[in-house]
Amino acid sequence: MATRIDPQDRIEPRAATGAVQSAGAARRSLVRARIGGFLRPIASLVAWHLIAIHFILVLLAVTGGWARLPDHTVSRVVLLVSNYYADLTFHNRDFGFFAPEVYADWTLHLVGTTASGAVAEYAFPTTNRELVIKYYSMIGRSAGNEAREFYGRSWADWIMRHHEEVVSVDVIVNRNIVPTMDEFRNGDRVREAEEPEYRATFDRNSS
Amino acid sequence: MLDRIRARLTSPGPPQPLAFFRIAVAAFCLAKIAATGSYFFDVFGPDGFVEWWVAHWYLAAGFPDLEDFVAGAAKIGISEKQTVMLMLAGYVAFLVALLVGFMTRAAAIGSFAMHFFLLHAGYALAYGMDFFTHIALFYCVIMPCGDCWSFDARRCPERRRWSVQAGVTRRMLKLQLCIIYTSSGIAKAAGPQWWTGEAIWRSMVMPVFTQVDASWLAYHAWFPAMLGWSVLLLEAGYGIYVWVPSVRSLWILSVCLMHAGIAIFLGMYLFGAIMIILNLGGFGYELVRDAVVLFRPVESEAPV
Repeated sequence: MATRIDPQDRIEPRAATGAVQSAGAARRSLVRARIGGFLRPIASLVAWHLIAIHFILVLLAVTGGWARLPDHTVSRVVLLVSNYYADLTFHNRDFGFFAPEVYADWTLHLVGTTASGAVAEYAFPTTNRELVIKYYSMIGRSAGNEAREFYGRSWADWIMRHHEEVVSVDVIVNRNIVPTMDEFRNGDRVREAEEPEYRATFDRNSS
Repeated sequence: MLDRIRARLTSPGPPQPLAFFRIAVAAFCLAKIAATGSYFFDVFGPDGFVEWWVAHWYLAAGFPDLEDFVAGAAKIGISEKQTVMLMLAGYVAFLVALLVGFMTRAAAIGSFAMHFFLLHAGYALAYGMDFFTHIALFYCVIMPCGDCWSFDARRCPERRRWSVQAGVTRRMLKLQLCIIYTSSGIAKAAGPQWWTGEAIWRSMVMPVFTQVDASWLAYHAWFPAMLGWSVLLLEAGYGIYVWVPSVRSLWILSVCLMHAGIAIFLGMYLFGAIMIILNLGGFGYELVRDAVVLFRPVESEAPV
């Protein structure tokens, strides 16, 4: 008669009974630091609480639970802790990429003018896919951001640093209009919006 | 009941999945540095595409950043560029130590810290891949990932055993993945684009993501719609089905396939890779165990 042996029967019990039981107390505890006596259970308790706090912060972030918290000193303290934790670990953030919708992408035009009045379009180097994605992410982050002016200033500075002849840079951020499948079947194609989202000129002298 | 939950939560886990995770994350981070290549300073430098003073906006007050190191180093005559180069060299050294498992915990903390500084220095250009890499490095810090396939384990064979810490921290990673995927799936389901397939269509034809000519999708709208539904099912169902042994492997493989698809068809290679690493770090062991059961030759009884 054919029999099948579940590898769990071979792996788990061996580890649970043999290897693990023969290991020291540190291995059987969540805390492995070289501390013993009464301190070990305390350290273990702290570790479990930290794990619980970690997941509470993650859940509050993904569920948007902050919006439902009452305006109270405790809430503000928890929010502050959460902000610092998010900055440090990036755990408690909104991970809804491409959700609920996929928005149209952005374009960036950097038009430089030289002292003699010659105009040319410049671009950041995007030599591989990683730089393309980062570049796209950068434009997206600047859009609709109150720091947009600073981004524009930064981009213009970069162009003027790398192209000595350029004395001013026009920064134009635009949006691509992506047709729906239905519109595409009717002849519509991806095109840039006529009105730019953002446009500003930065001079070398004002750098 | 409570005892059963506690026993389940604190049951020991094997060191091998964590060692795999450590090696994969360290190798990935090294590849990530290589991908930035000669444009490292344009992404992370003080005078990059977005200057530090802009990136500084996003960092909570009180946290140190690369600017602080530059200011400190300037006092002893080290230039901005040299400081950033030293930080990069330190990061690479920590990653190599993490890769081979030499002073693993310290190497993981060092890698995490360096990634933190670089991530915030280039925050304006950061995207999901960078955040998930940081999360992966965080898990390398808290996991006993040097207990196997490492120099540390060679020096101390006692380490190469199952431990409660390995079990608990890997369960944390699993739980976190469940939260991330499920919330992402629910958020996607809240809009109409993923139900109609428009989200797939738009992703494929947006100039930044276009890798292949996907215009044919518009004439077979059922196909992107089906893909959209599959993404919703995979992500929203992740939190449930990865705990069901009979479908667990199918689910993990499908999610890895989805990320491979994102890597190939949207050109997001590094994003796809880190998500696959996180999934295999969390559930790879179960995947291998299920495969062993599936492909184990049927043992027949010896003739009497």
